[in-house]
Amino acid sequence: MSEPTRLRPLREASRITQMLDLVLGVDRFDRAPVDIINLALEYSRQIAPESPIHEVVERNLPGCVGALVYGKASPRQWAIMYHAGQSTGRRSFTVGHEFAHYLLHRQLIEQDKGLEGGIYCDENSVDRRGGAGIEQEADEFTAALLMPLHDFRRQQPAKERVDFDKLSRLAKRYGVSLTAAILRWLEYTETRAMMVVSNEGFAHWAKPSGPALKSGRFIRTKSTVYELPSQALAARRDYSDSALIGITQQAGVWFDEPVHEMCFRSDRYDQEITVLQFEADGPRFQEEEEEGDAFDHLIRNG
Amino acid sequence: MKFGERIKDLRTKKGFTLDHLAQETGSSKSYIWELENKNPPRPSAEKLSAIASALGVTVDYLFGADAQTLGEAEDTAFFRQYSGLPEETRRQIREMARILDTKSRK
Repeated sequence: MSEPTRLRPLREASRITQMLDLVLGVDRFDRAPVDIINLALEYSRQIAPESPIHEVVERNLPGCVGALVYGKASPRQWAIMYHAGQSTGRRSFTVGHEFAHYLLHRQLIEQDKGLEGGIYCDENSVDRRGGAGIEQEADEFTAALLMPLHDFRRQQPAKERVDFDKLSRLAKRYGVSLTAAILRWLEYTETRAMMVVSNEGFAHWAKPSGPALKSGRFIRTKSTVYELPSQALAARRDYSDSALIGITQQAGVWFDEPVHEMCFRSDRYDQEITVLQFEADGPRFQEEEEEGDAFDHLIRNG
Repeated sequence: MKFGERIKDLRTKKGFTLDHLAQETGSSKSYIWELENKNPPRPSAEKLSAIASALGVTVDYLFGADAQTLGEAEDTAFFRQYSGLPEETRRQIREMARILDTKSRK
């Protein structure tokens, strides 16, 4: 085969997306999310009839959310296993992630002894989309395949703010977890926003939108422990309906500007998801300060 | 279960808040959270023994071999950090690989 050893994740996702749009119609998400299990089975048979994915099965796999498994005999035969007890949304992301390893990385398995026996993926690499290298590629592929931007943007225009109703509808439309839908939105939104995932008042991780990051709105969680402000809904353990709708926090609580905050608690995963949305015109906020300085300068110097 | 998970598990079973365990052991609240949720450098022997005694267990127990039931392991597995594959998981994966080998010559 003349296949390159490493396929591009987004290009592959887009190829399959175009195929699904053609076969099922561009309005396919009005009817159902991507049926990732059947897609993995059927698509692998199409592209590699001698070496397909035979099964996608649920098993009890403590310590592992999903695995791409293969036999020793040549041509290799494949299966995807996923850990029991994942919500439907998480499951589709897990299966998509392992399917991505099959599509993008199975050539590597032939070359790399370190991957002998299969690729096992933990929660960190699948759920948080926090992996590197092939893990990150698998996540990019899966997000693009399950939540194609052309459809996502139509549902949630880039300049519009979100609420949990909208986000839940998006998660349902694409058959993914709320976290996955929020991460996808943060990738393209032109609003300044941020998601913080926390527990007991401390942040596990946080992700800003591009415009938020550019205006200096981010939270470091990797090399340091970030304690949520004591007025934060998650820190106050306020998981009421009004926390879902959200409140406006004054400047000084999270950052040096007011911010709209809403919070959702997941008992299943024992964590809180906080979405922060800043005022639209952050950069002007800074310009005003500069103007003030210029004005002071004029006054002082007559 | 990993060291940090074990501390959190014992602490929550005792109904202690982060604040409470922090005070009992002369630590900051954020340090206890970090111990439970991240991978900071291993605490000093002194600190370890203060934590163990506040939780009513031995230091060995905090690092001990998995004594918890499989049920608990399953509960924690998918929302806690990956900590090496347990034997049962490896067995299931090996079993699947064996089944796949029977399929290569259809």
